[in-house]
Amino acid sequence: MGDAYLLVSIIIVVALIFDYTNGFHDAANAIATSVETKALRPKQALALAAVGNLVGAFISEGVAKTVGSGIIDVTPSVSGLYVVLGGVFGAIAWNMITWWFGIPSSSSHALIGGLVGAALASSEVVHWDGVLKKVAIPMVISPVVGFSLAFGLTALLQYLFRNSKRSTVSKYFKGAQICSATAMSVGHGLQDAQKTMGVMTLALVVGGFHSGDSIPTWVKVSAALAIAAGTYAGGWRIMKTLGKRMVHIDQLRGVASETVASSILFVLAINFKAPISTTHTITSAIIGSGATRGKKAVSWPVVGKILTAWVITVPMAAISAALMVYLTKFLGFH
Amino acid sequence: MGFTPKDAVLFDLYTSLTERLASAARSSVELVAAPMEERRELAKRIGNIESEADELLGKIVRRIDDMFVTPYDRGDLQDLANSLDDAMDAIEEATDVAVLHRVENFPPLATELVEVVRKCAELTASSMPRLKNLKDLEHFYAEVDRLEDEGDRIHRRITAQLYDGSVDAMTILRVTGTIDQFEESLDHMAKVARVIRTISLKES
Repeated sequence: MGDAYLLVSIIIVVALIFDYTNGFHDAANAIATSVETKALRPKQALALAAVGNLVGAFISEGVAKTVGSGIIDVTPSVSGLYVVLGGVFGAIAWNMITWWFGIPSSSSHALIGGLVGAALASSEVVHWDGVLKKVAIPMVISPVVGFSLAFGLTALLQYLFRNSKRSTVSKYFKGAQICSATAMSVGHGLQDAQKTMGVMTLALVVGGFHSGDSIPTWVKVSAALAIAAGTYAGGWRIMKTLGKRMVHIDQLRGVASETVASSILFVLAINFKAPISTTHTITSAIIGSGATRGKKAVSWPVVGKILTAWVITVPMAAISAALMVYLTKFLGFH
Repeated sequence: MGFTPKDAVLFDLYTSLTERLASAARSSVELVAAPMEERRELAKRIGNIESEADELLGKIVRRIDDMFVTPYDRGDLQDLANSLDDAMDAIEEATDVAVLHRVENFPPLATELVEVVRKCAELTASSMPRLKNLKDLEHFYAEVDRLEDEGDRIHRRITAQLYDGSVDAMTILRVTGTIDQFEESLDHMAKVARVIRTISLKES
């Protein structure tokens, strides 16, 4: 059991680091708009985002269960732990490669691809039905729906407020923006913290430390804290996000895109138990919201990035995870 | 194209503002050609046009500030209004200075320069109604660019002639006070075209 103990610990630590960096990288996106339009000061926005992450992590277990037991089944054994380890490291390796070469990617896609690849490499069970219904379809549909709904909501709001005076409605939109930014942070915790919980639980089950598909409380708490801490630590990135943005987002578009994106994150996590990419969801909503100005307002390179991530990330992460599994076998670890 | 409401009043205000600019430029052509004693009257007319333009500018700025949903980026719309105002101010200053400095005779090339200013202002006025749809503006950008270049070249030739030693220093100072401002008005109109181009790149 010594080996199993060590391997489970490694997976859990790595999963938590993954979670922390997720918050570190992405959370700024959720709150950047509300800082830009001065609805919130950076520190307030950051605290709100971190708390939102924490709350979101505790709302449901659907996504964690899908990642933990809905995608692959691994026989509880030391060899099985190498499969989980291979999956996680495969995803991280692919993330590093894409980061190094500047290839667009998505860590959520990489994680799923990694798990599937590792399971295939060692003839463990892959729930293809689950992969299709809870992962592949939602991942493709969520950006499309995000784009369309944000486009529709923006067009509607612009029509409704076409004659409104800025001095009267601006303050209401500030309030709305605080709500929508909070919803985004909750949605972020709901989606991304749960992916980590799923991996942790999978490792615990395969290592023989846990049975069933329930998520242990300490797993929830640690995953929630890791993402919230990452968000808080990565706060300085807000300014970077704002600086990099070519077209600035006005209040109306901020509210519209965040409302749509957070709704999608909520519905898919709670009703469909589907892990989706938070970055793709908010990005596609922002693009849809901007597209009401005309097709030149759409950042086509970003659309390309999302499409590339669909096509490339999952198989490549799967291959790199499979290679990890073969490597550990070759080295005689299992 | 696009689902952002386009406020008709705002676009009409921009068009009216550029019409004032064109009208001031036309009077400037007359002023440069006119004998000294008739210039005061023309300069006064241009001064009045400039006041009307100022009022329009005020209306535009207030309207942009009031609107919650702006047809284009708020900052770009403000830049556009300010650049038009700068162009107007330069023309007004050029003509006022011509009267105050009591320039007796402008060099023949000054007529060409002010003619370029007129063409550019009229082109801006006739293109402004297309700000709403941002269509068919390529010719406008290219032509304003060309006119600004032409204005620069004429301006340089005028100064070269003034500095050739045959003109006394006081005359040089009097004339440059006016022609520098005409040249400046062309720079501001080029800025106007650039802002419209930026808007068009972002939106359309």
